[in-house]
Amino acid sequence: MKAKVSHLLVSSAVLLVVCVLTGCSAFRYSVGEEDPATSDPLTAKYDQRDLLAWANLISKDLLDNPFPPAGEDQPILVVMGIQNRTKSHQDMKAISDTITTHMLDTGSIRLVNAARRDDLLKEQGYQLANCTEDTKVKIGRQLGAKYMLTGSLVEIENESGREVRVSKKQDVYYQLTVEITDLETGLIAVRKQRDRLRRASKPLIGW
Amino acid sequence: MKPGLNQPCRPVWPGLRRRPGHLPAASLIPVLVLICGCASSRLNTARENFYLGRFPQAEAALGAEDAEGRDRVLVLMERAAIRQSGGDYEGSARDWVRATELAERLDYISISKSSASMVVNDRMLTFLGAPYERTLAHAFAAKSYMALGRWDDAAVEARNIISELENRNGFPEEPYSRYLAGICMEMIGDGEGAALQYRTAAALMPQLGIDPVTGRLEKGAARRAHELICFVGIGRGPTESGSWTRNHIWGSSPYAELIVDDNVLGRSHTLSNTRLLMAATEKRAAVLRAAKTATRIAIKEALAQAVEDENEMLGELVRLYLFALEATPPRRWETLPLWLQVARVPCPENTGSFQVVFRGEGGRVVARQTVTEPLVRNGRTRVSFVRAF
Repeated sequence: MKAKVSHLLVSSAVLLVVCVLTGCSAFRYSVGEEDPATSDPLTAKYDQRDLLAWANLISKDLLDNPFPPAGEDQPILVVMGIQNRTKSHQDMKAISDTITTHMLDTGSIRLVNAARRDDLLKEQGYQLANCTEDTKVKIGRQLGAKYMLTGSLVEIENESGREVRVSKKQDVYYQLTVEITDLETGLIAVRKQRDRLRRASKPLIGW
Repeated sequence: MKPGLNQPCRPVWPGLRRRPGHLPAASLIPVLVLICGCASSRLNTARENFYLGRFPQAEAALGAEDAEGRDRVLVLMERAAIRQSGGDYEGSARDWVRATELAERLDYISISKSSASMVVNDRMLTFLGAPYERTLAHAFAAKSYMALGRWDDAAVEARNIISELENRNGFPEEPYSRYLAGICMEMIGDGEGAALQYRTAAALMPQLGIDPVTGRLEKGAARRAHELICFVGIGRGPTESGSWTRNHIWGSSPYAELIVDDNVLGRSHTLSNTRLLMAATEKRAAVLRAAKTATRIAIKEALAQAVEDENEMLGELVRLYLFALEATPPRRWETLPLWLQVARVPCPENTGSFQVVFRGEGGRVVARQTVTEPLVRNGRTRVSFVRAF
């Protein structure tokens, strides 16, 4: 009996030491740097990996089309927005900003700042009223865009049916479509798509 | 007892055989009762203030930070409704989106909570909302986004409504949310998506005569130059006890008339009734949990019997406790209206405000309101919503 109790106490002590040495880390708050392009996804939903990967691929696809067409040197684009057709509230401007940043960096296009038109007019009005002749900008010299960039992000989600299982599978598919339209003719100059599918397994039972 | 040892004097239940080192099972029962959660007092305070029109006090009762505990989804839903009525559309949308995200994330079988619910009642489980409550959370969030002019975000909520209703597993359909989803799709130019929802709503409510193509509330209505769509909420939805007697002032079929410059533009029509939704949901849920209820009753009887073996009187008390817990009503989202209605009427081009006359039994005027906001314009259509308790 004494041997049994002694054995039990020793086992408990060993278990406690192991827990202290290894389990404590689970209770510590920790922060670390992760590469946004290669970090493991936490969910099947849209995340920063998608944003970076798509922006990179789509901008390359558009420019390789080729865009701008031969004979056009640095055409001017205006971004009219990418439509969110998913079931989550995404920041669609982040997608269009990242795509156009890649394209701008290549020097192949020029971009008008449509989002800041009101601020531009406000500043121009201020300068007209208050600034010296040699420093104020000239009014009515803004350049017009020849092309507009638009697009949409679509989501299709499927889940495994109700069965006797301990987990549920969820497929989340995204398709990003980006197109550049000639503002004069209304013709779509180029349209490219990229997609991805992620499968998540969600436990049906937890603590 | 060893000779020479002084045993301390301890109080003993009459007739209870003390077993050294044994904790009677009965002592656990009060602990479970305490943590089983009767309706949270802060929720009740918030609801009372809400229906008295004291929205800041109602919101303060629930706090501004993210809710914790088993009722966090319910707290978020209630707070969102309070914020929307108080004009905080951004905050209300955020709360409803958070509530539905949490409900999805917490939708798994918790071993600890399920075990406790087998001894106490289903209040031990995390509140996820009934299917119609989750659908209406998306619908009301869509209204908040429309009030902010964020039509794309309203359409996101519409897609979530459609997803919820397409996967409702035998729970009741919900024509109000279908129709609202159709409006959201129409506002972003998705005519086909809108028509699909209008068609479904029309099939669910054939007596209303919803035009399945245009969504107008009269079939074959001529194309209008300008239109006002107003989502109307009347009365008080079902409470934890199942009903609210104050609704008697509304009669059985209240409605709202929309008036601009003394001209009656039209009236609202009921698309959903939360009491009927609740009743249909309870009927379906009872079927699904019949086996669990029977098992829980058996476990409670076994527990009571185990205590009764030690002390008959205590055993009866325990039996009384445990079976009284069976009568605890389910938690509900109580700041929902009873009647969910829509008015879709022609309006003058320069409509900046309109009056609403709420009529009850026999057309008697129950309340009046002047609406200046929310009143958001999208092309030739204006969207608004109004609530009367």
